[in-house]
Amino acid sequence: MPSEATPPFDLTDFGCPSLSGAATEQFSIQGVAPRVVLLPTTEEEVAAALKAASARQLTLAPYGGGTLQEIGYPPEVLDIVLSTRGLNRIITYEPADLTISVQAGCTLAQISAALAAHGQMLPFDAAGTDRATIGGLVAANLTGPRRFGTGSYRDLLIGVVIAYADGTVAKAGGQVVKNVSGYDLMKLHLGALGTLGVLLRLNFKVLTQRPVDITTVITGPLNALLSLAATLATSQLSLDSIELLGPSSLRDEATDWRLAERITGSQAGAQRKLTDLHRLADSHGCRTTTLGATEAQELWQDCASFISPGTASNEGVLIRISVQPSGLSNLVSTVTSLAHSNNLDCSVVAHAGDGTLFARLAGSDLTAAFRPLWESLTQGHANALILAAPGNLKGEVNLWGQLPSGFDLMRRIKAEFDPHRLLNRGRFIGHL
Amino acid sequence: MAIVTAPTAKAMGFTEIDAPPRSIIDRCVQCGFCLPTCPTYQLTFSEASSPRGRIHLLRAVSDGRLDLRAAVVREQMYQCLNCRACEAVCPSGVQYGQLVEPARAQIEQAHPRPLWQRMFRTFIFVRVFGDMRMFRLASGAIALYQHSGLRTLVRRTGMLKLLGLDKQDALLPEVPLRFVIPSGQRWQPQGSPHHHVGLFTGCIMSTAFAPTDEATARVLARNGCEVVAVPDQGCCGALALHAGEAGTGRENAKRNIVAFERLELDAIIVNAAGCGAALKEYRHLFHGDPEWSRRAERFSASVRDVSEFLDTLDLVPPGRLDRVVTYQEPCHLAHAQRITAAPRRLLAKIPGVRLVEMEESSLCCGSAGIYNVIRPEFSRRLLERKLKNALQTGADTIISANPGCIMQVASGLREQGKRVRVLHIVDLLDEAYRSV
Amino acid sequence: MLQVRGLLSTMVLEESKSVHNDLISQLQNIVGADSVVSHPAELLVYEYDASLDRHLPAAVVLPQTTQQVVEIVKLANRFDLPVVPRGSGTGLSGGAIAIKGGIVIVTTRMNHILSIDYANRRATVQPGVINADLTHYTEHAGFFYAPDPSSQKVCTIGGNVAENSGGPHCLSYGATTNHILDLELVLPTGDVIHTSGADGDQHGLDLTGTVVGSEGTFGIATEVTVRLTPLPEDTQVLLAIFRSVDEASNTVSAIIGAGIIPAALEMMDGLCCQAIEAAYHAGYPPDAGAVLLVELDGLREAVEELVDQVSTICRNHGAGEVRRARSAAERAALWAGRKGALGALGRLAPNYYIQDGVVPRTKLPETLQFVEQVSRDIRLPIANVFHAGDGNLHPNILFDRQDPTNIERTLRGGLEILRFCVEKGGVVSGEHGIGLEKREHIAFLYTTEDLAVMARLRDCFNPRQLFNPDKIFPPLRGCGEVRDQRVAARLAKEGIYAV
Ligand SMILES: Cc1cc2nc3c(=O)[nH]c(=O)nc-3n(C[C@H](O)[C@H](O)[C@H](O)COP(=O)(O)OP(=O)(O)OC[C@H]3O[C@@H](n4cnc5c(N)ncnc54)[C@H](O)[C@@H]3O)c2cc1C
Repeated sequence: MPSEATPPFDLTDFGCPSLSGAATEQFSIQGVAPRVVLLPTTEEEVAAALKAASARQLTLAPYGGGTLQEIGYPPEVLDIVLSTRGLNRIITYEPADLTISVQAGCTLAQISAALAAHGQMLPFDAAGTDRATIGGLVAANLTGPRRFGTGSYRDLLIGVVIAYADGTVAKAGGQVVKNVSGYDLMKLHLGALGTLGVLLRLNFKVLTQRPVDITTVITGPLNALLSLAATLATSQLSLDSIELLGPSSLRDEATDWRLAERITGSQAGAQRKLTDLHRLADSHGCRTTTLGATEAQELWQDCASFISPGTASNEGVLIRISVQPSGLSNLVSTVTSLAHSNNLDCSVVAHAGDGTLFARLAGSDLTAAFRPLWESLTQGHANALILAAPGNLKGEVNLWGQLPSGFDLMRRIKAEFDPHRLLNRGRFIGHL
Repeated sequence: MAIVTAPTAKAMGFTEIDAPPRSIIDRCVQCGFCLPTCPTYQLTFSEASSPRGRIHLLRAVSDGRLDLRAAVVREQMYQCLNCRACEAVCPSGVQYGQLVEPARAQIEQAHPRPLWQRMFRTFIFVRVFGDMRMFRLASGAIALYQHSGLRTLVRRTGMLKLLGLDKQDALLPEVPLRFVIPSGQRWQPQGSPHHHVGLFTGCIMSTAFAPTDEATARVLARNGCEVVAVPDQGCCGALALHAGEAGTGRENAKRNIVAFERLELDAIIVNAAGCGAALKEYRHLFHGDPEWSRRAERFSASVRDVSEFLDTLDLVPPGRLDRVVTYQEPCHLAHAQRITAAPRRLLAKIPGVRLVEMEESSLCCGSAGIYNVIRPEFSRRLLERKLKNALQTGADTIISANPGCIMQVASGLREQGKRVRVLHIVDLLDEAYRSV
Repeated sequence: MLQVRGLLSTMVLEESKSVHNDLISQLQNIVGADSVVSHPAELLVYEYDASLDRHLPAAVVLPQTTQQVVEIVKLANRFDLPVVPRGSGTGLSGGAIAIKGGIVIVTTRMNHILSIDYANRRATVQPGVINADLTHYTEHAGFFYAPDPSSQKVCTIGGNVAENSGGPHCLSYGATTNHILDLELVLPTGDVIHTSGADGDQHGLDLTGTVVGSEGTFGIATEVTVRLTPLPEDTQVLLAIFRSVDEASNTVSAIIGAGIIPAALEMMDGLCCQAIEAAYHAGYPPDAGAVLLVELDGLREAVEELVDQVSTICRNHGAGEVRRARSAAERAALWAGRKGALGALGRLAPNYYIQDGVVPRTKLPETLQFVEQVSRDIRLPIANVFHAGDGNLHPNILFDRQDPTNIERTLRGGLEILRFCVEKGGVVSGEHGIGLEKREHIAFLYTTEDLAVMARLRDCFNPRQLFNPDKIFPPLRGCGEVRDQRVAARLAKEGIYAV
């Protein structure tokens, strides 16, 4: 490691504040510390930094709040971490248009506060919202419980400005809620884990906060809950969230299976939903409780934490498996019985309306026990992903399970926009 | 033959007289709304077989880019059923029917048929359809053939199959031995008449469907109408017009106008949708002839389909009939005359009758005048589709309002050995009144 | 290269007839003789869509299976011929026009609904399935397919995917992209991929989202898995009648500003109301300055509240009358009028040229004022019928193509309107796509760098630019006006018509 005073390479033409030496430790990604951390404060500085890095073929990782850096493989090589936290301006916010344009380094909390002042919001469920940046959240596209009824990043992102690996800056989309002018590059960068470019600016359409926001928890036998979830998901109630909570999955340590619902709307609308929900739960032989505001907030915060890798690598493995909603019941029993037969502790949370299951697995000989489990899981399920795992395990398994049929195309896209694999080298699907 | 050429090259275009009006062609903005309603497009999913495609072909001929004699022009203009489903949905109001007939006439001119065909067509359109005496003679011969046992004999010998006429034979309706010969006869209502109406008896209606003509008169009389079968009327001319025989069609029209002008009538009632559509559009035949245009306009203004007319009356309640029916919309009622609700309202007024709607009720059954004879393959596929849709409803009776459809659907049912009945809507009403 | 040249005139096969014959016979081997159109006269009907341009393809194929599509695409590669996917040809930006000749692959015979799965709220269909049929076949079970372009009874799901089509109900339900779960895509190389796979979440890059809206330049969709949506319990439709466009557009801003997102919020000006009434007799007041058609849906109780709120906002902003459709039939009639509005304009003038710009919703009033001013400047009437809730304008310039000066003014008017939209923070197309028609206008919005990135993405899918060449990207950068004049001259000479 070079000494603190001398940067590992000449930084003059990077043209922005930087850190090197020990100070870079706190920007480690999965245990890999960068040689230099850049702290640009303008979009131009980001572009210039990328240009300089690419000129010298230095690898670079964009870095927001660091809350989701556990996702993906560890960087193969990491010369530079480019912190986006200096890009923290809300550029335009027009409440009457229900649109907002923000820089990538704004935290979700910062944006939410601005929106809340006008009774508006972005329905993104994330852990650590005071650290998590909007750029990082979009790059990870880890969607929470409200995706079911309110939509998520994919539904609300209407424009982007991107800095590409060679320093080119280009925009796509716009500030309007409907747009087919040119290709939808928002989708291209969504969930690309910053491997195709650095998000500089993001435009969203925003939602109005509903006057009523109720959370209910339903308990009953697992099968009854799953069948109730299926009924709710295809009903006209348009619930915001239908979340299946496994035993001991949340901090409240409840030991039975539960189904949590988020209900929003006008007074009359929400009341009607609540009444119907009670009736449907009763008919499935389940019990409904309505939570108080604080309890509710805690519950959803816990859900967000559960599905978010955070520091899971120290504790165990976090996986996500997606199936069609009707396959959820089978999936739950497959995962729990595989965990059981491999001597692993397992807790699960699932977006029941979407068919997305998250499981946390822990145990004494995690690495050895997890591998057979993962092997059989990925054989039966094309869409399984390890969101977090201890470093040694990550070296041994394919985090993305099976490669999709479009993988060649993904490789071509990566090669086009980042031919030298400078951005987040090796971290994405298939070690792109 | 040069087909796609610069406008300067020698592609044969339309002759000026009676060309498909450019103003109508130009109204088409190519939105494509007509595509899914077109029966031939539904069979082929090929753009050429769609109204939009056909209009474009006519445009190309009109622009001098496409030769009028090109095979595709002829094929498409005759593949078209002229059901006019496209017209009913066209937001721009393109009168497609006003393009097809002139186009066919132009093709006939540009592309003379062999002499024997021309003679045969003249015989059929001028002699048979042009002269009701001749028509009745021919129909009488068919009736005799059917009723005398001759048919059974002929069928047994397999002669028809040998001659390739078996399909045509199967299409023939059972022709009754008694015809309605319009000669001024009247049907009187009970009590004082509220309406004086003339019955357009038609050619096929008054012969093969004579009982339906009589039923029509009875139902009208039952509802306070004095009905007269106006003498000297003849075929409406639609068949000739559809076949591109404009002159013959015009002669037919004139004769009917003259016949009906003589009487003071509240309405001219027609029970064949195809004839009704033609009668209502006589004015288009006399462009550039103000005198006849005016007379045609007056005539057309008083023409009413029987359902349309009955729907405006305070109907005398019919008796009960326990039937499950489904309604097959005749194209020339639904699309050409835009009458869709009236027949359904009438059916709803018969106690005990339950209407189960079929899918694609307004898609042509493939009869379309003489289409089933000239395009048997398309016609058969449309018929099969119609039968499937109709039978799926579980109805015991299929209701229609046009002789062509009734014959077509009935022949299909016969072939499939189905016991479902096909009735004209007035036949059902008549039955209901008689059951009181 | 074998190519059909001559926009409107002589068809020239630049290479020998035998190459063409060879191509045709190989195509026939793949799909059968009755699914190949090769005779020039018969190709005429594939030279247009619902937009302005025209061009003849060299051949048209109507395959029925994915495998056939794959073989056709491979053949096109061997012959080095452009491939243009085509659905029903209702596109308003020229996307399905074979501007460089080549093979048009028509999907209208790939029209089977392959599976419907209510439990998982999805259906898998072939691309030639008609949009409205999906709803027709699922509503009995309480579901519908939400994106509803006005052309929904005609246009194909494949076309919708390519254009990312919108429609009145996209205001609250989202456009096509929000309802596509997976695509089977034949790439320009002939390889077949599934962009997502059957199961939920993104796995790798979001190829599905990237492909939707790519206007047939990334490949041809041969199977589409769509999301089905539960039908709302209650639906109410209001017709608010205003004296002026200004009042109506202020009302739109007020409704959105109040945080109410109706299921649909459409505006029609007086001119449109007249045309619609003539065509549909649906109950639109022909003497109004403008009307808003507002649909509210959801649970009964919530809808009642919204009806009250929206009615009040309308009245407070000058609505002389707010009518509520009393029955399903009345609702259907109002919608039939709205959805047929574009075609009905054919009754007002021989031609209309539709724009599809979008502005932020607060900019609607001033944009519509500008449109009125443009109308005065170019001395041609402009009829507005559009998705007001989204800020997606459709000013229709009414003109007569027989008059050459008309055409120049029409194009100028369109250009000015779109430029204004972009100046106000908007975009040049909200749902019809760029295609041929807006190739120059897209440069108002994006810089060369922006467009270069998009072109690079296209090249990943379509490296030889075999699929739908010459679309989306400006052929002559910065020469918009130049080309428009060329178009104008051509229109005048050849009698092409706009939309
Ligand atoms: C009267 C009228 C009203 C309209 N209203 C609306 C509206 O409200 N909202 C709206 O968004 N649009 C509207 N449109 C435009 C048009 O209907 C849509 O763009 C529609 O999606 C086109 O579908 P299509 O099947 O006709 O496609 P086409 O016009 O045949 O093709 C459109 C594009 O899609 C590509 N394509 C077609 N099939 C495939 C496939 N399987 N795979 C890949 N690419 C393919 C073609 O190459 C072309 O680029 C309207 C059009 C008309 C005429």
